Amino acid sequence: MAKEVKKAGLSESLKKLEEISAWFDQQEEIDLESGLLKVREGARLIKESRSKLKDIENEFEEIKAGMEEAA
Amino acid sequence: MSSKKRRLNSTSSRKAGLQPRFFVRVTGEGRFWYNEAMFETILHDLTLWRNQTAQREGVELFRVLPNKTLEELARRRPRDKEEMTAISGIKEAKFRKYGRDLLRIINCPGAGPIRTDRSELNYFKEKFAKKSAAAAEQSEHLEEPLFEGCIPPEATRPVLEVSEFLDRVNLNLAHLSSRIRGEVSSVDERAKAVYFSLKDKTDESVVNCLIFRYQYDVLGLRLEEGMQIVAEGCPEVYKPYGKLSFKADSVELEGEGVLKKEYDMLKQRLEAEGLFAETAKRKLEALPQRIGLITSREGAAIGDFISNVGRYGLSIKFVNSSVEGKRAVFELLAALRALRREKIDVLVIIRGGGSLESLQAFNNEALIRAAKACRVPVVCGVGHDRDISLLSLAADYSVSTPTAAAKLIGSMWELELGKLELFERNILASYEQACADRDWRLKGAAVGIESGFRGILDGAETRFERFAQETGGRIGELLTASRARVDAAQSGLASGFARQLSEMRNRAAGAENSLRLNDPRRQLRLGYGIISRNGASIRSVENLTAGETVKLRVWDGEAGAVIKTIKKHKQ
Repeated sequence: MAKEVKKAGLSESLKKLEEISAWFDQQEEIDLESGLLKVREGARLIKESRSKLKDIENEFEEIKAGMEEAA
Repeated sequence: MSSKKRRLNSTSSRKAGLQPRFFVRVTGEGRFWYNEAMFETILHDLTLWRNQTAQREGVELFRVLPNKTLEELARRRPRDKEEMTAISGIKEAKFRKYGRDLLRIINCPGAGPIRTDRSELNYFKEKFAKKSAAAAEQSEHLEEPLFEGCIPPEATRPVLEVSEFLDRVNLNLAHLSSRIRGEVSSVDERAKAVYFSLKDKTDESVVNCLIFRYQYDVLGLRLEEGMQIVAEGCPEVYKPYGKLSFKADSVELEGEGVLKKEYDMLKQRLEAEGLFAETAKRKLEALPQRIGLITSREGAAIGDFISNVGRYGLSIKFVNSSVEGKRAVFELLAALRALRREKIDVLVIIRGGGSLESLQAFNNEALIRAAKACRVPVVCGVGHDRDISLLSLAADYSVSTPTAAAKLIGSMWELELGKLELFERNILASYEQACADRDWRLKGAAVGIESGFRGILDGAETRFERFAQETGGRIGELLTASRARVDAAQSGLASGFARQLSEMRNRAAGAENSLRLNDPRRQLRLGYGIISRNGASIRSVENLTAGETVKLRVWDGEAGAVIKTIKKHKQ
């Protein structure tokens, strides 16, 4: 689990948070047990996202244009 | 190129580990072979030559010669036209154009690839002479001439066939690469090439030109009579007709006024096609995480972009490309093709500002269409002075500087990250609300139950009181009557019981008296006896047999008796 979390980027975390937020909006009556699981997941993602932002770096890679592709 | 520069190149080759060690002796065979260093040296020189030629001609590398052909040349080292044209990738035209250079490089490895003027040729001749002298010292071991195919210092003049002569002419013409200014006086567009003539505006001299379609189609302009242009290429004699033509590799319009006119015409045409329409622009559906970046490695644009894009764990795949000059369009198109193979979410094309002339590449129709065909949204951050580049107009997102392009990407992330708090609030608030709802409902239920129960109790009490009030008098009467009945019953029961008890006592006394009178032991005391046989009393002489033994019981004991006589009394 910890590995998966580490791999997930900010983009994925934000997407999951959006899904969780939407889940709450969609429920006519929130099941407290399921809701609690979602709250825990959301809290974890928010905490991790904020933590990631502190030390995250961009990757830079130069690609060769491959001029001879057609040759 | 000067001889000084050539020496520098040669030095750099040695530094790169390519110092020629051309021959090694193979023990036992008495023969010299080219070793791997030879192959590498030739390939290195050929590659350098190919790259410089491509740059000079403004074409992509493979248009000159592909890598495979270079390797084959280095491996097989052809010595003449026949051997060279047997190699895949080199036909008649290629040989006419490049054959002389290639033969020279192959046969004089380590001499360097570039030679553009007479001083270069002289340098080459000197080098040849030195190498020949050095080789002569070892010639007793050589079975093949070292530099066969090189131009001898003093060439003889053999009689040539026409074709051979024209080959020789073309070999020399190939080095007359030029830029020619003139007015287009005729244009003939064919399937594979466009033929046009250029006229000198002062003395009306004319040169016939042609440009191949694959080059013409990416020029971004259509030749028309009267245009002032600058064509770049080299002359060549077309052997079937013996006609000299100028083979152009690129054509540029001359003068900003003309450029502006061309810009306006293309803008109008593409606009009419709908390429600039807002509805044709694509939106980024998700956060851009993998960014394809095209710009020059040399310019300030790349630094501006990277330092402003923000740190969001982005994967930036960069492809270097010229962003100005005649090679820019080719390289930008090649960069687009390279990024087509990469997984990217957005494509960013940037360069700093410039005049209309310097931004010509970004007004190129082929580039605009290639960007439009890109499968991901395109962000164009090309600076401009007065006229915005047509690529910017066609791009899905357009900003005026590389920094703005970076901030555009960053702002998308900022926007999303700003939602973190929103998500936090929404998730927690929703759950708290859900908990509060349940709490409220539980309390409501408890109150309801309590009040309901209280109502039941209150109602019961009320009804009981009313009932008691309504029925209280009658109950007293009933109780009194009942009590009387019970008392009466109790009294009746007691007297009846006493009577029965008395009767029972009397009966018991009678029975006792009767028992006492009828007790057999009283009879025995009176002198009576009981005769029995086997426990059964014998009450009649008819049950006796003379001679038998019976038991005789009297008051105080028993005795056995034998019947002697039997006599029955009359009744």
